[in-house]
Amino acid sequence: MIPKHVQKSIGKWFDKSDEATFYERIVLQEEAVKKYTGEPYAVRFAHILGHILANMTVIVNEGERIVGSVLEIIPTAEQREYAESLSVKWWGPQVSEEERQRQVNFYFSPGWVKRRNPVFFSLGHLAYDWETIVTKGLGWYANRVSELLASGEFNDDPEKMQFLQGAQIAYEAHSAFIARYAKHAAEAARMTGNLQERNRLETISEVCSHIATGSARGLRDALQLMWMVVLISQKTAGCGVFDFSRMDQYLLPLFAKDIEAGTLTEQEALELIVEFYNKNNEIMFPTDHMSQENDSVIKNLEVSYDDPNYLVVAGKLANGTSGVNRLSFLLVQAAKLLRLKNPFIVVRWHDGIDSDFWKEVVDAMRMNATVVIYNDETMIPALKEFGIEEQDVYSYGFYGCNDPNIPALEGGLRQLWMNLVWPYELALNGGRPFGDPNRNADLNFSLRDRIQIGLMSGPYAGKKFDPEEPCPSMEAFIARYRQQMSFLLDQYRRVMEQDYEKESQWNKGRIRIEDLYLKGTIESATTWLIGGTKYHKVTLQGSGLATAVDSLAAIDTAVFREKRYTLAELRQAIKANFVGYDEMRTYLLKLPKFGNDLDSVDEYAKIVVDAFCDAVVDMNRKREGLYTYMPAISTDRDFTTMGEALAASADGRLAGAPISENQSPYIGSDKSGMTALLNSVTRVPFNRITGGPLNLRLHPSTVEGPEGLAKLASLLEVYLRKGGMQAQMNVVGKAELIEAQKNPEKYKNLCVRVVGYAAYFVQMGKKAQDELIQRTEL
Amino acid sequence: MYQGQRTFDFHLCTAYGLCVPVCMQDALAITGTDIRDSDLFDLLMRDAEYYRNSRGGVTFSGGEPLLQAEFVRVVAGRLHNEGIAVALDTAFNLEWDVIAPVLPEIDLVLLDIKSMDRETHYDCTGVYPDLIWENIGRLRTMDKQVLVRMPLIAGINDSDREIADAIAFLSGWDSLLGVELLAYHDLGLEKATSYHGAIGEQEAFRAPDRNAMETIAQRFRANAIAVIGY
Repeated sequence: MIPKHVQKSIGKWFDKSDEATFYERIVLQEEAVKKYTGEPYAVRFAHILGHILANMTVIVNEGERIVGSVLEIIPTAEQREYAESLSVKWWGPQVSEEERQRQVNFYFSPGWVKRRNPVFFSLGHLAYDWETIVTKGLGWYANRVSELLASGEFNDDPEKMQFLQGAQIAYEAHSAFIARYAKHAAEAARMTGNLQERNRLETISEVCSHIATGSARGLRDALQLMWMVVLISQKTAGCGVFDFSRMDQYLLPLFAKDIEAGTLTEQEALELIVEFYNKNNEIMFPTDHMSQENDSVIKNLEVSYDDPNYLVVAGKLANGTSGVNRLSFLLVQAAKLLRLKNPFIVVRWHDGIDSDFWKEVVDAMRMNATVVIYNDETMIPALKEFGIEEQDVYSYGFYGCNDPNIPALEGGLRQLWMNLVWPYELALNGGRPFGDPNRNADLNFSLRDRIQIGLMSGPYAGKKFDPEEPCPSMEAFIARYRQQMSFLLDQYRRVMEQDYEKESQWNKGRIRIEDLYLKGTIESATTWLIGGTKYHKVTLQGSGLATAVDSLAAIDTAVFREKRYTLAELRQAIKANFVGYDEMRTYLLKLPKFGNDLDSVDEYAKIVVDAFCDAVVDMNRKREGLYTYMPAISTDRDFTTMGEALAASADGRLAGAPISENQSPYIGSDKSGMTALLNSVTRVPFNRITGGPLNLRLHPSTVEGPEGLAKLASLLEVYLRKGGMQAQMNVVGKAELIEAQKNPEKYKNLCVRVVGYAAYFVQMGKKAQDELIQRTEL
Repeated sequence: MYQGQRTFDFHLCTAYGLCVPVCMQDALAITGTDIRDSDLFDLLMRDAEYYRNSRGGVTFSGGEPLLQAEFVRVVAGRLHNEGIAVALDTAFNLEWDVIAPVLPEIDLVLLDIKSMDRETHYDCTGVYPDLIWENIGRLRTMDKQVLVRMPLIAGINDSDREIADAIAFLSGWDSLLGVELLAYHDLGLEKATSYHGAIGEQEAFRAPDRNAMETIAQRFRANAIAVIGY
């Protein structure tokens, strides 16, 4: 059961105005920025944090046991104008690209950066050392830094001393903030005549008073402490999109101790987890940050508004046994109860996983809880290939969106969306984009592309060659594809390494809030940005997999196997965007496509992904500086943007049309059922791929009842056993079925169960569709 | 196009299917395909692990799969050798000589009882059920797992009498897993339209309501016949 106060909070959340703002942060931050001008960077940073934490309102809401909220108001026109003026001051048109790069070498989008003050900056996307936070407590952190300051180890490096002084002030500010909650709750307890209410408030006060510096004594302390750390980082400094990492592992000893001592029942533990999840959701904004065109996103004044936090359950332990325990069950059950967008639960599957647990997970998935599955059997070898050591690899997790992470041992996300279709276009056209044939490769990866999201939208030029040069075989064409892939990635590596060098210069002595809770940063008095952590990586999101696969397979069939067209003819047709080439395009469109379990196409999944991974291996061999590169397969929501600069492709796709989404077949081209789709996807050598989503869409009728659950659990398990890496699913609702009726071309693979048989929704007549829509409850 | 309608003169069609690959809008399709038994077997085996893991298997259905009984026997036999369970969904309206050789390769037979009344059966399906019932009688002696499905239409085949006859007919059948009661739906109309073109106003069939379905289910259960779903 969801506690009443949580139900109420969720209800309020759905009604929250899209103008609601934690406005105190804006005012307090700017006050502090002025007040502490002239101080060394790291010290000033910590004083800004301290000023906000000492003065922001503390709130204990009705009924809650885990506390920590921010005061939200609807800003007046004047307040809004003030906040906007700060954004313009920091990031307005007067700030050049070069200056932006100096301030912040990498950020996700102008929308994400605009509310963040460059002197108090973070983008999150990482995992703190949660285990140390809960088992040692904030006092331990403060003591450690005091000892380091006193040790004299860094006496001859003033910047490092400033870094440590900043850290010390920041830890103390954390503790003082939590102590304010203890005091507030104690005062409220004295004011109330209701005994039960007094008990609740006194307990809150006692817990907060303890965890202000102490380590967690049980599950409640741990969740409260973690929540305070998250609230501070995410809402004041914009450090969100956390990976809570393996919660069922590091919280297990505390949970087990509570249960053994009889101080907590499993039901109470479940309710605490529900509260903790809801806290993560409560601070979100009911919008979608990936829709940067949304008015509510543009107007938003928050530093962190709808970025989900991730947590990891299950998975193998380093000793080879399973990590599934009672807490794993509770963490999944809580997600199933709440079915909120945040937090995002990653379940790590491994061979031999407990079958009851697996059913629990799949049941949550079919209820559209935010639960996704990853495969240890592919992830672990992949992470090892790309440089993660055996001793660290079992701790792996994810943060948004589906990016791999080694908790506490690395800083935030840096990425390039490597558009896998570009090397194919360049291989077909002499290393030049069809849309800009005179383009020079020096123009690739502009500064703006690099410092922003790293989206590979294009156009791009590759290694130039004469397109008329004979290409005698498909192998020769594949060699061209590989050559263009390596060319682009190596070029990217070289310019990024220059950027990171500049970043290192600029960030000496600086600190970001996450440095407080990573491993290595404090010990070396060095921010992760310039080497404080063990690992530094750039995630290379391979995008447009199916479009690249279908296009290469089409060339193989059309040019080399059936010899129906020559490469030159194909090039002409593509240049003309198939205008006047209807017959050719129809032929190409009807060639076999990825997603139907057909070897002649699917073998290209391995060819494309190996080309990509081999190029990444090569980058890592040549790399200079901190960063290693790791391949993933993902487009997130940017498959439309990434198609815009591409010409038509040999799969029959028209110029500018979207590329394929994440790991899915091209939209509408998988028509052979779910097992055929999954079989095709398993042809990707996922044991070299470190992350990314496969979206599956199911109609509720296919997964109904205990039998439906058993089938789905089995289906997903076989997929993973056959080498699939990830799956997340959407059991479609009414609205989506209506959408499918309107745009059938996008829903060709949507399978529904009609009493005794299954059918493709879009192939059914309107009347039958209407009847199914009526039967769909969600 | 004729008077604004797409028309297709099948008398002129030689079924080469050449119109299909050149149609840009996928407006034309040939339903059904020629396939060799070994190719079908290979195709099915691509999903073998899914069948085994879910304790599921392959169902031959139709149309009437036993119109290609030898083909079904060969493919089912090979699946059997691979340890994959095979079900057969059949109307059973064939000579026993055709059915018998296939049965050893079948783990589960799915049968329909459309009506226990000979005349109703004839009115609704166009055939008398005598051969079907005779075949069912033979099947009963064989210790073969069977699931009986009964499509129910209000006022047509859901009378007390019909149900009582069905219960009498099925009672004491040890290897009967149970009956599945299917409330009538007209989702098949679309399919009929695609074969025959626009069909006239369909007789307004209705499904029995939820209570009636529940009552029928109770009657089966009271007579020791499991109800698998309704």
